[in-house]
Amino acid sequence: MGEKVIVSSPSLFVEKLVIVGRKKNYIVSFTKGLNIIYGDSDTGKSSILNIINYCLGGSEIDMYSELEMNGLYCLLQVSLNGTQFTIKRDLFDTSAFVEVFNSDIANIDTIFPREYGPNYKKSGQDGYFSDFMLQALNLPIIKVRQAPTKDDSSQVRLSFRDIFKYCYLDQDDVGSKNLLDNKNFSQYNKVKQTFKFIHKLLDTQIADLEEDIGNKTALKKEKEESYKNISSFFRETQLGTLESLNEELEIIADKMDKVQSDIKTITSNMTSDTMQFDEIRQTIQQFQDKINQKSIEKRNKETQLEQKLRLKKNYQLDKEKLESSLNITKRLPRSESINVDCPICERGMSFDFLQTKLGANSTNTIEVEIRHINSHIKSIESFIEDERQQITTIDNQIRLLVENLNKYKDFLDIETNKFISPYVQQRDIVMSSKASLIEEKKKIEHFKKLRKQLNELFNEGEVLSTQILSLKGQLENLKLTTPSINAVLQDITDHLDEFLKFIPIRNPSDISVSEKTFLPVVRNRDYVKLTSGGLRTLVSIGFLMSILKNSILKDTYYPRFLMIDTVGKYIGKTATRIKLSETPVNQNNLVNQYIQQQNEDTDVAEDLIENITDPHKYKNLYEFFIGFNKKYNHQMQIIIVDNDLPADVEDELQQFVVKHFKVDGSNECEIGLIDDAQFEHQLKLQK
Amino acid sequence: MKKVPFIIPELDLGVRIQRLMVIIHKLGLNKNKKAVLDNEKIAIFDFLVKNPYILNEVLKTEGKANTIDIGETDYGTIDSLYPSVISLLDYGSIKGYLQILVTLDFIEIQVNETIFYISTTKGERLITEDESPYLLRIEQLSLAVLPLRNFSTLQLIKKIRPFIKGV
Repeated sequence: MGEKVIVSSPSLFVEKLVIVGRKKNYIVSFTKGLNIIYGDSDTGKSSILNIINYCLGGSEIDMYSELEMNGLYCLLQVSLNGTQFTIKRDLFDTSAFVEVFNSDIANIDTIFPREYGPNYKKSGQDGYFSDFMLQALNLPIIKVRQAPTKDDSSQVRLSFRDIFKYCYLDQDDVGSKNLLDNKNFSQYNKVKQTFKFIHKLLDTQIADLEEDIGNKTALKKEKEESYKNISSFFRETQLGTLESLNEELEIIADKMDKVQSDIKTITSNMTSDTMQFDEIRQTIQQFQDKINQKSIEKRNKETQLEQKLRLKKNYQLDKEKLESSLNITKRLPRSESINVDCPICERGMSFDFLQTKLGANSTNTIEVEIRHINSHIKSIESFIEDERQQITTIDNQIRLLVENLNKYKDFLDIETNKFISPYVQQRDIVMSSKASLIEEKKKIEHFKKLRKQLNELFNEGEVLSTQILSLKGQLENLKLTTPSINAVLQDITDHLDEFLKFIPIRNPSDISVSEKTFLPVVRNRDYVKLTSGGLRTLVSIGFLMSILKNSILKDTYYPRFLMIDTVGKYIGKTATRIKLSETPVNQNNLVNQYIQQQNEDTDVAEDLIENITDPHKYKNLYEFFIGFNKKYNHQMQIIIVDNDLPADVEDELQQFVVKHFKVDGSNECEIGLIDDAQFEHQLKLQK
Repeated sequence: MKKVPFIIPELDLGVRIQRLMVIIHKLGLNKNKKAVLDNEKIAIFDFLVKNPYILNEVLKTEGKANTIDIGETDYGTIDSLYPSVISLLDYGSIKGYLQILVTLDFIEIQVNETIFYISTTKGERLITEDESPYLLRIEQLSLAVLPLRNFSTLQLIKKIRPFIKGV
């Protein structure tokens, strides 16, 4: 049967994720179709999906230390039914409003955002984020019964997050027995209702659609009314059109150029014309040099003066001593011819000899010496006087030089001031013009934002028109061809069957989707009863891929988007495993390796029976993705995270690789999502 | 031996014995009229009286600041900049001067385990009849040394040593 592609299921494409950090931004870009993120563990692969989920309304974010240290907030650029939006969310305050810009990331500064409450507990200025997502994807905003079989059961909103449960399989979900929260009975009812909603199987589908059309029509009227009012307000207040505002900006830009050039001219004129003062500056410098020279001379003279004064003091003291000695010597008795002992060796010596040895001088000698010292003192006094006079002369010279220097300096100051003042005045005027122009520019840019906001209203009205038309089409379809639950389950079963046979799993028979649980059944065993973790991985992935395929081929409410974290969970994949599987001996070793590396949530023996370790299964899984992408790449988006890729197709898969992380940064790979986190990175290398 | 044709005042006998006589006269007997000056102490006190700036610094450390006036010729001279440390320990020369003084009967010896020196009447008369400015100055400085008289030689040298770098 030919597979006609009907493009009417909503579309959600993630185009770019930017984590705005303290020092830099961390960017991941995506394309339509298959996207692969793979690499070493602990590098942030799962974080990427986690943050995308958070930006799409998730309640929590899995914070880890590199992100906590380096991240501030995140921006997610998405295309919802062909319209681009940027969703901005704070990484740390999960209760903060979510901002949505009607543009790509590059242009968010040119428009005002909408503000939404992250959950139903808190409404933003523009409502709830879930409602925004539903409206943007043209999905009806409805309520469902909590206990569908009871007529009097209370109604709860069916949110975007309920639908997104089918779009994101995280590490815990893949191959989990608790897939889609099926063990939580009260929650799972809603999940089943969501399944029905996605496939337009709800009893209230038609009524819901009609209500939605009604709501959207009213909203469109509101927007048209607002548009009219704001338009006329802008007209009355003479707010220019976008074109006229752009023209004004161009004029301002020209004026700005001229002002800059004027400033340049003034500055250069000012500099060149002051050369006439160079001569005066030179003279000033010469005076300065002379003053320095004289100062040095003066200091030298002062040092010499000090030395002479010191010498004079010495002479004076010597004179006093000798005058006193003279008095004593005159009155000493005549020397006596006696013998005494040498004070050192105690040998006998004459008293006269001892006196002579110890410096006895005649009164005559002392008097002559005193006269000599007097004459020395007189000479040195005359030198001291000379020195003092010279110092005074130098002082006077310095004073005169300083006076002249100051005269020239003052003259220079006055003249340059006289000369520069007009330039400075001119420049001030021009700078003030520049400031005004900058203000004017800011004002016009703000007006532009207002204009754009008005245009947005118009665009939203147009979008609503398109949505209403589409809804009306759907309504017609629904009325004509009421989809049956069995038909839908059969379609999904067919796709799942095809998938499981492609892998292939062991004995791919009796495959279906349970009417009761809306979960897969393999070999007539319910999904939750499958004991092999590896088999559950394949079946859970296959199930969601089937829903995705169905939404591409049929008209559903599924947004044709799927994220899967750790595709290779429980499945044998690496080269070492290939080696192991080729040596069937030593089964014990194999089992031990399994136990070491696999989650406890699988029955290892069952895995072995299912031959999950067969690397061909893993390869075929990726071959399936490649094939799927080939057929439907523009109609859907899949983002896969895995630890590594099957060796045989690793090269072929490179075209889909969006990020490849290696902890040691080899082969030009980034070390992780936060690629400049050094400390943690070092720790990882040491592990 | 040839004598030099000039006098170095500090090596003149009259200058030295005059100073020593004043020191012995002013400090030789304590309150109980007991002789207290031996050869070493005389040498140390002679050093202090010769270097008033250092004496002043030592007295400051004993809490006796401003006891003496520091005159113009007491600082800023070459001697005060670089005082001769040897003279502090030159007991041999001091002994010689004391010998002369004893021979001339200007001082006498008292023996009490150690040799102490005290003034004689003749010696006292010689000093008191002289009124030269330098002598008066030495008397003033010698009296200022009184608070240090009871310290031992070792203690005195310890107190003086920090100031022998010059002024």
